[in-house]
Amino acid sequence: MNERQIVLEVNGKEYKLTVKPNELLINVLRERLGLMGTKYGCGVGECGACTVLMDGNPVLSCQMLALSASGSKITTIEGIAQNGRLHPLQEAFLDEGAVQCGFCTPGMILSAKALLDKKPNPTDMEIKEAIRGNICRCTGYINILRAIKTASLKLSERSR
Amino acid sequence: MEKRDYHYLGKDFPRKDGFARVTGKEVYPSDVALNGMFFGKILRSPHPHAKIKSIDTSEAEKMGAVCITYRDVPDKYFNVRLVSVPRSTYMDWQILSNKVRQVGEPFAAVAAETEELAQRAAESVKVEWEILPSYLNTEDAMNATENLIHDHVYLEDEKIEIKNNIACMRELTEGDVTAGFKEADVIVENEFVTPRVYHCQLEPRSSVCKPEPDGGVTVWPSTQALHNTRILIGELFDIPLNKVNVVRVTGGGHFGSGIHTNRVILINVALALKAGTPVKIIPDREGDIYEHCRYPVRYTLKVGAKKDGTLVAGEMKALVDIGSHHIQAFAFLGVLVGWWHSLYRCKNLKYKGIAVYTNKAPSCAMQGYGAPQVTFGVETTMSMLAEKLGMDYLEFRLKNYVGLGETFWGQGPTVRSTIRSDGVEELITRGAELIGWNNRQPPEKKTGRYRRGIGMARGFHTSGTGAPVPGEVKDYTTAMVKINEDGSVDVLTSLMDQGGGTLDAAAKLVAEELGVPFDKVGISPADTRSTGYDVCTHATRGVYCGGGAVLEVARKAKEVLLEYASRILEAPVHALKTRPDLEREQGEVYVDGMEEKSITIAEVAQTAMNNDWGTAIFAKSHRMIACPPAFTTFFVEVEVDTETGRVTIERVVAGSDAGVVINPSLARGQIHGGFYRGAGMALLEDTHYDEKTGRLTNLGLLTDYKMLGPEDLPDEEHFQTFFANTYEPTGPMGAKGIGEAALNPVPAAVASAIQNATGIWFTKLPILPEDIVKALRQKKEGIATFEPEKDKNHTIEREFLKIRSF
Amino acid sequence: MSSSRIITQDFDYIKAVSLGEALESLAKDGARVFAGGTDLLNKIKTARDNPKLLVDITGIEELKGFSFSEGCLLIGAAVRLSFLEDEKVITERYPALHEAIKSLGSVQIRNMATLAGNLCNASPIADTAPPLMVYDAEVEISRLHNTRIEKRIISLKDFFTGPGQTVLQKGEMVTGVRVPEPMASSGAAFGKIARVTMDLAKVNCAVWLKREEAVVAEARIAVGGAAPVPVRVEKVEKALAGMRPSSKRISQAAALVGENLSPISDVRSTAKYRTDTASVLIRDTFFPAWKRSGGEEITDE
Repeated sequence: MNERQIVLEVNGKEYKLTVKPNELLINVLRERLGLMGTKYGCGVGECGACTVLMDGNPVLSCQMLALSASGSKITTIEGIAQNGRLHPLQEAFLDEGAVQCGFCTPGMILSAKALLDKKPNPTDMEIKEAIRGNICRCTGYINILRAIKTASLKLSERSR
Repeated sequence: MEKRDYHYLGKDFPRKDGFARVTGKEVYPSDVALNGMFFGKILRSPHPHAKIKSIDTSEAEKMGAVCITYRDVPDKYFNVRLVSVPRSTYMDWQILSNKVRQVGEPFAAVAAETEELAQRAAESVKVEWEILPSYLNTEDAMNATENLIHDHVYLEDEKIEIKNNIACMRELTEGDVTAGFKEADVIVENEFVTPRVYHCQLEPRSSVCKPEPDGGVTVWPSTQALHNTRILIGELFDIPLNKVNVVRVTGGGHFGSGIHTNRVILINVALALKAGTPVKIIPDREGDIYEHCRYPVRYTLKVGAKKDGTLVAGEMKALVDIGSHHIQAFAFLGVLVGWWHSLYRCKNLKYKGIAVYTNKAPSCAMQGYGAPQVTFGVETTMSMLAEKLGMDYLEFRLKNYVGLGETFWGQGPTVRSTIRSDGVEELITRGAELIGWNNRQPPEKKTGRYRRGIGMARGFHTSGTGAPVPGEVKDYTTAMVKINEDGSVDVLTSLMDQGGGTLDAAAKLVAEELGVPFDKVGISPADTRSTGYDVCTHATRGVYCGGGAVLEVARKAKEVLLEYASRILEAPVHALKTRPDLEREQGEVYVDGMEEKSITIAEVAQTAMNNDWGTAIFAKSHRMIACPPAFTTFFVEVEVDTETGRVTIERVVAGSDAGVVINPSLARGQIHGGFYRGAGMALLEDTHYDEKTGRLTNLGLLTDYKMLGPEDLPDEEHFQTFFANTYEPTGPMGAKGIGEAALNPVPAAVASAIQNATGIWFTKLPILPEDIVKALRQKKEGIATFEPEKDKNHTIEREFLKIRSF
Repeated sequence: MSSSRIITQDFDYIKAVSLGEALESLAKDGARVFAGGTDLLNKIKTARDNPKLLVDITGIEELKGFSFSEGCLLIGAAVRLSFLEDEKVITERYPALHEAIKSLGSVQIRNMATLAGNLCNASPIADTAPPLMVYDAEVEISRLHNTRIEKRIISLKDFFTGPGQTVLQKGEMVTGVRVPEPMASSGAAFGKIARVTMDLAKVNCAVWLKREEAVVAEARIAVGGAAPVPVRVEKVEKALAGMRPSSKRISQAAALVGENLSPISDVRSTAKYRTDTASVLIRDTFFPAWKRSGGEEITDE
């Protein structure tokens, strides 16, 4: 009932979808578009595993109705690498041992990307604030913080 | 055997599974998608203790859903954890039962084409309950004589009557404790309480099952135990094991919650078999949180020492609240005494442990399997004894710790081996230097609102549960190593990697042994049909036991390779060696001393194939015959705000004796992670139940299950890690474990630092700001130990007195 | 039973393009204002609410307003917290509000949630409530009368009526928050005690001071988490008024806070701890507020 048409641009590709008002963005991304990199972790906005970028800003796809995302540009973890080349954040997460079980990694990288897009040279405190909404239960965060720092250095070298 | 220069060991490479994980392509159980797949939903009890009088699923069926209740599943008793031998495995589980024993216990399940339909169908099921009296604490449980949580359980074929909700007991005596205490110049006795921590692995424990046309099933579960899961499914559903295929999928965190086969998996199989189509279950967080938690332990510990610091006697009485079901509490009672026994040398010991059922989530292993609980009390007691004797903490520990040449109990009293590598002194000495132990001031010297304190604790975890003589616990791994026709290598094993890098370590060992470049070694996808038995990744056994087995198999495969090469190079096998040729990105075989005489491994493999000699391949099961302790020591500096009770962790120095370190950055990651979870256990994490409703007071929502965040933890600059320079002679290329050891002493170290800041020993975890404020108030009245609140009727002593058999 | 994975309740959804349309829809049975959704969707997921219609107001131009003029800050109901946290006007002139917003949830939550939503959720521990209360903020409430939009303004301190409850009547919605410009020689700060950094408060507070020379001319203090609604603690305010601050005198005044509180024990803390630390928090928050008012450093005397 009450189905509506929405248009979503996900990772640069446009999708026209029919959704019901009660459908959550996370379930549309995962079940309809097959983008399984967006994870369900808590369902109440605490863990950040479902983080996606909406018009460049990190939001929680499990706290968002698909309808209210209509017309926006969504980036998921699958849309970060360009032409098969990993984003510097992805490389840094690998190089610094910032990935353990990996379940938080997609949301974590997206939060970090939004930060670096806005602030290419963040302070340690700014990095911590930026990822406070992404729970990692494995790493104790240290290697993650280092990876984000490494990526920020790499990106600023590149832009020089 | 000794240390040598390695090509790959001790060096960092991007983890092999990492590419998939940073690109969102890794497939976790919740990501498995199959044609025609239904979505399953579990119905969970709203009552802590009740019987189903009637259950009506007709509405759900009208909606097109497939439903199962206790009537639709095999009526068999079992235990979800198959790590111990059958004689030590109490069985009180059924896949679904007409009785529920905790809020959140599954009692039925539905599957439908979409998750929404399944959820609606689940909501339409009507149940009439007969409410039973519930027991939300051990005292109420042990007072009960009727309406017990379980009337009887099974041990193999033996039916065991349950009395007073006591699930099992265990005791141990060595020497003469009474005589020992008589020799003591000082005695310290305290009661310790540790919390019911939730694993909070980020992925709720999920499962996918596909019924196969031959009557079998393929399962993609969240588990640490591939083969045990297969065996359990085969037994319960009467399917021959060759038709039960359990596939290795990466789990989104385990921390011990996947050693047992979570009931979700079994419900998933039952649903899929009834539906005749694949079914996926992803529990919601508020369901998962009722499925597992860390064993909470309440125990008294009394230890006596002589003036010179020699320990003369010790007595421990432990009460474990295991919740609604037995996930191997018998083994757990065994390790409680085992860890204590192996921490400090003491001739006269007495131990009694009781496990009690309550109407709460079943408790199970979580990183450390009782060691953080026991280490907290033992380390606190050692520091108290040292203080009483006027000895330095470190000196006291160095005098008494169980080390080189002594016996280590790797998994309770039945798994023992001799310690052959021991970095304890190095860990303590170097850690002390780095933290500035000698400048540490006693609490009396601290004034003002914000007080700093430095504390320390040491501990260990076993590396696996191997031993010269097998005990209660199974321990072996099976692997196959195959050298491909292009010189690359496939490693096939059912060993699980929980994220710590176990499989990368295995690949490095193979690369090192065969002399092939690391990136030429591949870890094959694994399932139970294509691999031999592996007990599971628990007990910090991944690198030591799993890696040990893989290395052993690689050696055997290398023998085959060298035999082929000797035919080509016309040199005897014993004269041949291998090494990686990084320019050609190939391994090569060469004649020792005549290095110009060489051939690439690819050429050997191709020649062997073209001449019909065969493939250089080997498969075998391998058991390690020791359980070496992986030692750790933590020095922690905290700042306590004496007005709000807030504790800030300012600095950490963590030393680990892991033998030869294989993946340095991942190993450091283990230490960081272990500290983070240990500090959470020390300062924050716990679960409570509402005594009236039997529900969790956090309602199952992470809003109120808090964990330390990046802003609450010290950053890298203030978190030093170092590794002892040791070599484990029984280990694969000198390695032993690290994982659980990275957490075990942490709560004790944090408590020690808080004591140094405030002058108060806290014997209950977590140490909440509320407790600190209260304790500081009491301290003004002269009380220096903040004990767990003792309800007059609720002491261990009283509860133990009720047990006549003790 | 419900699930945090999925919503099964059926409701309709409208993305209103004008305030009139929104108000018209809100008059319907079971209609709810939907802005960031971070609180409302959780209530739906945990079966604490069962709306029939969600009225999405985030597309209404006039509710996206943000202005600072004629001595008044106006924040439209559709303005998200992340927009506010970087606003120079707020950082410079309303630092207590800035601090509260920064401490609220995560980046993701603030990218979704609105200031008005934080208030309308009416949690006793809403982080933005204490600073807005001490800044003497007012809430603009709109409703439809026949076809005309009617507005009423009420002081924020009269807005909350209980946990999760406000003065809002059926068909009404908050359309904006007005905050007068702080007067010269005044200063304010926000404080919070929680289990971890990203958390709901056990207790939070805001202290606003008007300074005259070396004396506190007027104090406004609001505390959250220690009563059914965020409250102004008049006992402490009175005790501070006219005071030449010293550590000891501030402590003595802050200690009176208990008389204005009625905290409960729950999963996050105990009633006793809340009362005890509320006074510590007020004292700790006094210092930055005093400094911001231009006051000299306070010594222990």
